Amino acid sequence: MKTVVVTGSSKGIGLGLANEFLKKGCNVVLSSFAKDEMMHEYEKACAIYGKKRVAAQACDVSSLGQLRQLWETAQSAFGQVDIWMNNAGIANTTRPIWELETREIPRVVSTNLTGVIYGTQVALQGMLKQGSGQIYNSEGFGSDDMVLRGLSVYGATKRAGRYLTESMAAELEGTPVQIGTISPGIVLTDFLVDDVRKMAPEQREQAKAVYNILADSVEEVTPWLVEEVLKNTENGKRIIWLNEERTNRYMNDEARLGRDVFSQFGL
Amino acid sequence: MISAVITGSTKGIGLGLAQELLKRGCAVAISSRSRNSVDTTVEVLGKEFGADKVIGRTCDVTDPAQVQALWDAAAGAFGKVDIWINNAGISLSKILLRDLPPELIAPVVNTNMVGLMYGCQVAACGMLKQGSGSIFNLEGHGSNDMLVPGLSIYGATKRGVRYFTEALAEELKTTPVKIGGMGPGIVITDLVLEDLRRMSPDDREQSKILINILADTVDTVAPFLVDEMLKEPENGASIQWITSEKANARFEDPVYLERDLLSSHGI
Repeated sequence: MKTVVVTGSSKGIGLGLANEFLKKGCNVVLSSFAKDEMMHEYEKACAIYGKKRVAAQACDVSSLGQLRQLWETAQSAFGQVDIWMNNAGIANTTRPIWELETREIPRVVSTNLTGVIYGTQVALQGMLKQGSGQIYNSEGFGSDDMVLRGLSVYGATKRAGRYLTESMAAELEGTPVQIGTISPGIVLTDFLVDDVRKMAPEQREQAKAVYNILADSVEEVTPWLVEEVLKNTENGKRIIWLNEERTNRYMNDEARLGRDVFSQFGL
Repeated sequence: MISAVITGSTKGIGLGLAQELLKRGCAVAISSRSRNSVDTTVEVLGKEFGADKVIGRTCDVTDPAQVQALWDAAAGAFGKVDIWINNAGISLSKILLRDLPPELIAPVVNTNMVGLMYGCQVAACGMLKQGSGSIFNLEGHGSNDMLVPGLSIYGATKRGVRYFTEALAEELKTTPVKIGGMGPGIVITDLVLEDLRRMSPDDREQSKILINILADTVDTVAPFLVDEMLKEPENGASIQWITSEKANARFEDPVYLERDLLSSHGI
């Protein structure tokens, strides 16, 4: 039975990943900077899967010390860590650089890039010691070099994160530790919906048109991602949900072309 | 008269860019974290090019207030800022992430990415107000997706920089402000020399071969970069000293194959 640590797993994709790993029989360590939400999810998971298979540790990934504590908690609960998912991430408000609140810049970069670097270092040092393990970093908008007004800072952290993973795959070649990425595509999380809500009407209609075709729910995306992660034995692997083939299929799917996934959110 | 601001311009490539801009009649604002270095540089350059052409200001780019103060000082002294160059950056010696002292991580990310983002924000806001201007971001190892084990963190920040420049070019395309990226190639700096001195003899001989073929001195690279900048390239431009064609050609050119850039440094 594998042990999996997921950062940022009190909600959204991180929580979806954690639940799927639990369903597949893995031990899971939940973590989030939002301690109350995390404990709520921890209690729910314990009720279904039993206390022996779930642990929780509050963790702000911009703090190296808290990430080390997370590793310690996982190791003392389950003996070792087989899979470490650097999932925690935050987005800036979608404003062009000249309108962006300056204080959002360091917040986004320290979570999405510095936090991923710290998480990668903590996990790989522990995994080299234990002689095995896999690390996954989460791709997002920007990882594929797409640009969009208002997403410059977020996109830069996600592009840098993909490079980091590729470079780390080169560093880890020949060791028993592997690293790769998962790319969940466009997922209907609170964040995405809030973001659409805040858009100007014209921009909102454009975004809705694209998301109605391409977006999926957490429940649709995470089972596949988790299956692929549990199957993977390759260093440097990218596990991509919304690949070219799926995008093309969605664009020609009658059901998706007429879909409205936003009305349920009052949009 | 064209006026320019360069972050991190008391040594290395930043100082080279300042000298070349001054040689071509521009006014330049010098900056770095060290007051002594700024004062000395302003004095030396002022004597050579005229005291009215050079001002200096200490600036730690990780503090947005200091970056704004640098803009204000330059705009106050010269009336406007035509060119803003985000050059300040920290590089690390080649070292695998597993062995990297973690306290070195945040300074690199905060200077190379967050600091550069502050610079872009301050310059974009100021230039939108004055109705014109160009921003240039310095690229480095990683920007073109090359991978070298031991340079993952620096490379990730520089890959993020290239993306960020492209993303801002998209945001700025309907404005009078332009942004572009600038790749200086491999420049012989103190850090490169220190790294070579510290290597094992075998590694050093290998690195020397590559550096003698591919690297250049600041005196060679800076004039090219400044000439290209002053041609007022279009928004989104990418100014590259070393292209892949140029690099390939050097590997077949006896001038570069037999070149020795390092013995004068005792290496």
